[in-house]
Amino acid sequence: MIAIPDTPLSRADYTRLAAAIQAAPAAEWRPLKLALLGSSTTEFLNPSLIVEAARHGIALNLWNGPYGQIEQQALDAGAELYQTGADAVLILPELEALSPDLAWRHLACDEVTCERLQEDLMERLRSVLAAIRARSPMKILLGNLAPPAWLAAGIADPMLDRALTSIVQAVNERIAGLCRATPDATVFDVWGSACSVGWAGWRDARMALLAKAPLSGAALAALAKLAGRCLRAWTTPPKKCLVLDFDNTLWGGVLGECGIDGLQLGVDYPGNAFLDFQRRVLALRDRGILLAAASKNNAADVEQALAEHPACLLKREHFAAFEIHWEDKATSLRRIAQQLNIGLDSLVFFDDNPVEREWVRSQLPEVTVIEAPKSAMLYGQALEDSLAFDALRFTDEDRRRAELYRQESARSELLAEAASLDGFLRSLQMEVEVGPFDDANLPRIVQLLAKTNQFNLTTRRHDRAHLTELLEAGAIGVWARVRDRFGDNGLVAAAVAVEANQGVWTIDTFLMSCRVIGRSVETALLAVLERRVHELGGRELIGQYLPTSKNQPAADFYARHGYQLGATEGHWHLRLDELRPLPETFALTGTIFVP
Amino acid sequence: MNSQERTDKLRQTLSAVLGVAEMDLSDDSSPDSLPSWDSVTHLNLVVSLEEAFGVAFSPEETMELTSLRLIRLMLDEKLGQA
Repeated sequence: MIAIPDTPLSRADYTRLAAAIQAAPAAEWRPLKLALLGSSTTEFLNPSLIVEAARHGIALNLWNGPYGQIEQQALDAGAELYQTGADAVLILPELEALSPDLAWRHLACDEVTCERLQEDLMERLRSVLAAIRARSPMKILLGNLAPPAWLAAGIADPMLDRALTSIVQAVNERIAGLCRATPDATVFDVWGSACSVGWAGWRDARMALLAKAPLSGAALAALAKLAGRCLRAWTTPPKKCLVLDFDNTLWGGVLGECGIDGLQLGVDYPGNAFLDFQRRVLALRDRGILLAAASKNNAADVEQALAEHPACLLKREHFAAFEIHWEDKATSLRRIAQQLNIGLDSLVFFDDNPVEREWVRSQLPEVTVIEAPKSAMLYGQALEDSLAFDALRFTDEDRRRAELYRQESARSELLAEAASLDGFLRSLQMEVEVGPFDDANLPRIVQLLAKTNQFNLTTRRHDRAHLTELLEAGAIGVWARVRDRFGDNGLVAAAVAVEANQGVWTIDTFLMSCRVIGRSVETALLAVLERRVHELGGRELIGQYLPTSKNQPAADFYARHGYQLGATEGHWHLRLDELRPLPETFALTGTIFVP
Repeated sequence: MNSQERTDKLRQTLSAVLGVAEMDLSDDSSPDSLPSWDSVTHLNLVVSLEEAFGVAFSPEETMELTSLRLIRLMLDEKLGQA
């Protein structure tokens, strides 16, 4: 096994490590073929890319397109790019190469010309992405533009009504829009990397002239690190919940000893370091990460501190689960996972106490335990460096997640009050909407396929390209969206059926988010799917249950719905002679299949 | 850094960047004698030498560093005789 140091690596280190990695890649690494297209030579990136991908368990196989041929490669159906069998392509456009007039002569342009040059540049990038998307399922990482190599107006540039830096930023916003609108395309933040390395140190003028390779060693290393992080995010689902301790983690001091007034939390050091960490934690919640508390305190003391400490940003309602007592923390984490209906491997544990961390590591190896730095000042960075919450896209679903869980706890309270389950379901005033897969909902469906573990019959992680293929070949794709008196749960269930042979269909995929489990939504979705299959002439359906370590909750799904176990293990059969009644505890609406 | 240390570091850097065992390097090692020493590796080598020895080469100097001996002489010139 090749050890990759965490310290900054020199060019010689990268070259040596890359050679060692390629000579003997670890067996468990995921092979991935990456194509590189750039305005300049991309070969200089190779050693650092190989090393930074290996850091995340990816064995990279690289293909470098000829420099300056982004469009030639993308637009020509016979180009080598499409013969490479690449899983992904990284495209690195440069303003100076793509639009020299904008880069060097923007002061000579009037407003109309300036806008036309930007639009020309965007049109070229649009056609590149459209061509790749039309011809190949490869994932796309499209670099945005680095800060300009040179400012013609010098220190007056920021005063211009069309400053070059502003033009570059405006183009970058349009590049982001283009990526949002293109399936499986992601912005590769060259601009951000250049800012973190330093504008002045981004380019190496000498290498630009000698080798058409304008980037400095520091720039190459930063881009490789970012690429490694993006490739990792493609293959690793983000964690869902951050579990936090209180004393010396979210505030300084021990509440039980120093009381609310004695806590370090406020505008002065060290209280401001804890306040800063709270800000970042709260921002993670905005991003869709659930917060949970696991702390050894008296629960009443903590609730009082959260409510009454004037500087405390985190409040009781921000925590989706609250385990405050004197029992051990492994027990708390198990309960949190159970209560939130997520796997232990979706939890991230942050605690200043090394003994607690060690205990959790030894008891629950699935949990990600962050090595908290000695100083609270560095807590936020440690969270960021863990990459635990890395995701390439931020969806509406993410934006609303924390609110969804708050609604869920209100529902639980209602259930506790309701006399019967049927009565409870009716009291929710649910509305289930169903519809066919289309371009608008495919991103959410792909996300659901990627992350649903428990109520998932086959755990097939189809990507968008594969789903599209299935649909084009005649497969049926149906989704369900659930609203109730507490709010909109969003699109929470999906199913795919394919015709295996004359009149016999198989259910390739059937899954549902755990947040709506136990509400007969799965029965409604199954009924709708069966009706649609019947409508297309299907006479028999075969459902499959492929057991994993997590999908036990779905094990009895087909048996519960009248399917008979067939000769093949895990295959359940149903004759579609008569159609299943639709559930009556909620209103079923939708554009298709609803009577 | 004495003369031996400088030579050792130079050989280590060349070995890492060119993918050649140190024992196979001599003063006469050059792009002509080593197939892996191509134009891309050459620039990798230049940057690696700059990082390793804390020096900077001009474009003209970069083009002159075409054997282990020439690199050693250039380093002596920049860093003084070790």
